[in-house]
Amino acid sequence: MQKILVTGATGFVGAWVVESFQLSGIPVRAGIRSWTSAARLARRAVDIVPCDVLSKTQLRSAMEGCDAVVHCAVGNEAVTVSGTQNVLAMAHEMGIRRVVHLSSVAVYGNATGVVDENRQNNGRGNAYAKRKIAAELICEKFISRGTPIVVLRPTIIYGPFSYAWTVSFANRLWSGHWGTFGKAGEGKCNLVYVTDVVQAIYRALQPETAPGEVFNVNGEEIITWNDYFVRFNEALGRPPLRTLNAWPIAVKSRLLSPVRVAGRFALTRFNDTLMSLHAKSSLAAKYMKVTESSLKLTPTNDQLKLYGMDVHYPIEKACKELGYRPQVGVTQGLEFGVAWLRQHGLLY
Amino acid sequence: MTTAEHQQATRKTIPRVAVIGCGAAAREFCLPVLAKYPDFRRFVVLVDKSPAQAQSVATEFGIQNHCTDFRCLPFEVDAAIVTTPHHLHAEQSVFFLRQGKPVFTEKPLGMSAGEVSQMLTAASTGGTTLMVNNCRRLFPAYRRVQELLGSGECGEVLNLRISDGSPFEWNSVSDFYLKNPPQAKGVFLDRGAHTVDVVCWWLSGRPHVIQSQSDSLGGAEALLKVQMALGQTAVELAFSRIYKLENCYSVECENATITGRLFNSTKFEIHRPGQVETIHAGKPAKYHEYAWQLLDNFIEVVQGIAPPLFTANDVAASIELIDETYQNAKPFKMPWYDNDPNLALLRSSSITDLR
Repeated sequence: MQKILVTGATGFVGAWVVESFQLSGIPVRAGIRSWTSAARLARRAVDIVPCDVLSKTQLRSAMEGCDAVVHCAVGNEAVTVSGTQNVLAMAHEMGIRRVVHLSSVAVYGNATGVVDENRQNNGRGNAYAKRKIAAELICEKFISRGTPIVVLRPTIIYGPFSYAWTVSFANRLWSGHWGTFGKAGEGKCNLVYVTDVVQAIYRALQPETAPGEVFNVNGEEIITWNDYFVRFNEALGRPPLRTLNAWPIAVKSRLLSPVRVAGRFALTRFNDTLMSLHAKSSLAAKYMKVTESSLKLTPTNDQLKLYGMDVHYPIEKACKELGYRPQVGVTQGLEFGVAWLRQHGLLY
Repeated sequence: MTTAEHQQATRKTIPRVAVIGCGAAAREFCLPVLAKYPDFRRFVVLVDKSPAQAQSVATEFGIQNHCTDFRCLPFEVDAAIVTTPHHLHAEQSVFFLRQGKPVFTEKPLGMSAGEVSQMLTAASTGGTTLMVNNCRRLFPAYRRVQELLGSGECGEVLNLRISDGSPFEWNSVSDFYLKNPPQAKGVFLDRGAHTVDVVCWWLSGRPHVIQSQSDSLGGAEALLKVQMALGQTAVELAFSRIYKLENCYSVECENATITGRLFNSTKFEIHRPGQVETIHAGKPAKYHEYAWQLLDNFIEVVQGIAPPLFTANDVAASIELIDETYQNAKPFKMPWYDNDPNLALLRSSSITDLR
């Protein structure tokens, strides 16, 4: 066994793979695009190398001495699609023994019901889903050429260091302005704890796992989004949640949608000017704070749809063929998350 | 001295300055200030161990002279500005200070109290000035808070709390900020160099460490919390370079509590029973403008037309305190690693071994 290169190692899942492998004595190398986001990884004396997936030179150098690659890098169209093409082409060229490609159940688009690995994508997902579908098509191309790739499709990955599903919901619950959504929140919340995904990745790296296969990676408990909010809220020790009326929130969400787009654009293009305005005008600072808070506490249209979706991604195939067994239930996963949030001082 | 006289004096005595290190700090903080001076292109020499980096920055700013070794400069300089990785500040500063050349160094002043002591001794031996870019001391709000606390108007300080955290996004050319074992000093040396200095400055003394905890696992810590005390004053500090913290300060005194946002350089509040007074201490400026102001002061010191606003001696206590904190730091309990069944599974032999 040589080393396992993890691309996108500064990301939520990539960093967990590196940390978990290093803690378990499994030789691992962290491939990163930029040092600016490597603070979490740098806490450990781990092998970190430059690995911009858009740079073939860096990819070649990063893969030297490795016999397996866990491809977690994700980003815009270029990173997700061209980056995957580059990673797989280099792995093929260098005779890498195994590539585990981290995809997503987003490739199923808005499919509902029981969605197993045989379900064809309906091409109706968001931009992220479309990029993930394009990346999987590249995997298929390389699988047909004999590159030993295993594709994993995790569901909602939560746990310490997750901004999307742990920090942001903690902030919403902590604010006291969040609640359950009645029927609109009774969709299934397909939660998988992050180290369960790491376990699946580790199993997919095993030589005896047949390459060319695709696996859903989900947790074991099937709960609703309302359940998730209630249990997370309890773990935080907050007063019981109110039931919110979903339709005024949906209207507000639609009204805020252009503000969200404009804010993102302004922050990208005019960050310095906004910060200067923030410092100079208390009225502007107050307005920005209110807007930011309102945006953070209002679910987007896509999120509202998600909370109501009756969809489940079964893991029988992963259990049978990979030997995958989720180890962390929702209660324990939330306990870990809350302990981490408290230690980091993120609850305020 | 009038503005016209100041400008004339500036023009008459252009210092010859060596800028050691051509990374982000040189480009963003240092060279924009030097570029204001006439003939700076001829009188500045850039030094970087990477010839390509030195050449690139020289071309960007139109500077004629650059080299790779601070010991072998193409001409004698009047002063040095050190913007290299932290662990190089002491050696490079001492080299110039011993020759009697004033030095301005990026923060942190040094990696340890021992290094700082060597630097101060060299400055004293060379009879010259050592300054450091602890530019938060120039925030008008911080200065006013320091005056308020020093005057005793608010009574004794009972409690001082500061949280200082945001994702690390300094566009460092090299990886030294994060890839620095075995010294492995992370957020506390980096961000703490400012905040701990402000604590010592506001309290007019150096607290001692009660307890500290960090998340270092053999590398540079990204989260550190420390409790300190100075007399009856309790101090609690929290630092992160992974996530944004509250980024506030709160100084609880006998008669009032002072609160402010850490990065609001001009505004803070004084809370007294039944009233909150908002203080606007000056005209808002961008963060780097305070660094520029300090570097301007250094050039004036070199020219002999102004005293230093503060020197390395004023900041030294904070590095001692940072040292003491690191020496006492214990690892946080992290159940999400220690108690995770998946990690136990990976460590065990119950699944096929890839080691």
